[in-house]
Parts: sequence; C-alpha cells; structure tokens
Amino acid sequence: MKQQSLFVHALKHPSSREEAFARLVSEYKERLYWHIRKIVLDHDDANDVVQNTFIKVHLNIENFKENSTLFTWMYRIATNEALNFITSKAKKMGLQNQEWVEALADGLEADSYFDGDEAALLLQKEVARLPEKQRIVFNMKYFDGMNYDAISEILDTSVGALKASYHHAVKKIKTKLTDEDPKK
Amino acid sequence: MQKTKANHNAYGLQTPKGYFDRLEKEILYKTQKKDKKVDRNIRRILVTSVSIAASFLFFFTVSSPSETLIIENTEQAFDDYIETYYLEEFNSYELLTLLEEGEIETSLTYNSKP
Repeated sequence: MKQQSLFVHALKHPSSREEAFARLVSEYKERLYWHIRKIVLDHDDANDVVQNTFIKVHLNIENFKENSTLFTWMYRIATNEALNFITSKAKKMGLQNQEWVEALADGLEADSYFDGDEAALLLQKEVARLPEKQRIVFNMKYFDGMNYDAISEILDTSVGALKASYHHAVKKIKTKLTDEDPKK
Repeated sequence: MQKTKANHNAYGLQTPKGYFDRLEKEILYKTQKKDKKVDRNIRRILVTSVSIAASFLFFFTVSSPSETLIIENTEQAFDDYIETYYLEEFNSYELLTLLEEGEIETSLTYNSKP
C-alpha cells in the first residue's frame, strides 16, 4: 500500500505525472482492454472504451482518495464505461442492453477479430445470454481468475451476492452447453 | 501494483497485430494533448481576467468625481453657464433688448416706495 501511495503521489505531481502515467498505461492497458472487450465484445468498441477509461483516470487522478487500490479504482471506471457504452449503443438501436449484446455474440462468426472454435463460439453466445451482472461476475471470476473480495470492491456488491450470481451463471451455462452438446 | 492472471484466449477473441503498442501511444498522445489544452484554457482565462481588470481600472482612473457631479447636474450647470455668460458679456442695454416689452413691464417696474 505504501508503494501504491508513492506511485499515486507521482501520478498527482505535475513534475512526475507524465512518466508515472506512461508506466500506468503500460502496466494496465492489456488487462483493462480484455476486461472491457469481454463486456462490449467488439474490438473497435473496446478500443474506444479503453481509451476513454484511461483519459478518465488521467483527468480524475486528483480525486482518487486511496480508499481502494488503484487497480480496483481503474477496474471500476472501466466497468462503468463499458456498461454505459452498451447502454448508449443499445438505445441508439432501439434495443435493450441484453438484446444488443446477444446480437453482437450472434455476429461473432463473421467478426475478423474472433478466431475461436465451435466450443468457444458456443460459450461466448451462452455468456452473452446471461443477465448483465451475472455476465460480468462470470467474466471476472472464470476468465480473469479474480477473487470475490476484489470483485466485490469493483462492483460494490457483497461477496454473498457475487457467489450467488456466479453459481447461477455457471449453472445456466452448464445446462445450455450440455443441451447443445452433439455427443450427448 | 496488483496483478491478476488473465485467460484472454478462452473466448477466441483477438486483436490486430501490434495493437497494444499503438494503443499505448494513442492514449499517451491524447492525454498529453488534453494537458496542453487545459494549460491553454488556464492562460486564456488569466488573460481575459487581467484585461477586464485593466478596463475597470482605466475607466475609474479617467472618470474623476467632479466630472461625475457635472454630469449628474447637467441642467443646473447649463443654466449657470448661460447666466454667467450674459452677466459677463452683455451690458445692461443689450440685456434689455433681449427682453420682450411685457417682460420689461413686469420685471423692471419701478417701485418708488422704499
């Protein structure tokens, strides 16, 4: 935590800000990009959102009070940015958020930045059908390997609620994948 | 800084080649541009404030309180000016010619009683 405070101080101080921010981007760009990409699915959209996220971090670093870790704070901004992005896109199309995400997942086969096999595609589509909260919890727990405490801080939800969300998500996906398994 | 392991390829999602290098450059370029824009805005606000302050100072310096008094009492000042002019420039005969006959009778009626 002391190391983080020094780093945050460097981020806030005009003389060291540029260098510290470059280090921050270098350290977190991939992780934030993939976190966002799993929410918005499309590469170009994820690119826009991750850039906006870093710009927001840069603009608001003065307001960061260190009540949480820098990592948690940035993940929270990234999650909110991604969800707001989906809401605005869906609204423009006259769709619900869920419908928009499902439509994106259905179009993945034609996406030039998707090279998954049939199983990956099926998993992707099933994850897209989960309710928003369950989908994000599933992504963070299953794919990013984050622990419940960290997810709880980022999403501002109790660990118990997160465990329930994850449990429901896994159950739904398992059921769907078993139903659609041709070998069954 | 906290690290997490990430299983990115499980979804089959990909990025263009060299994407993350370009992303980093783009983010740094945009944030630096924003910094410069903020600096420029601060400078613009400062210049505007100083200009307004200078204008006020100039206005209050140029307009003295005595002039203000004259402006507020324009009518009175004009009457005084006319009165002074007539008294100083005209002799009694000339003043008399300016008055109409009726006025002469009412204004200059001689009263013999003390």
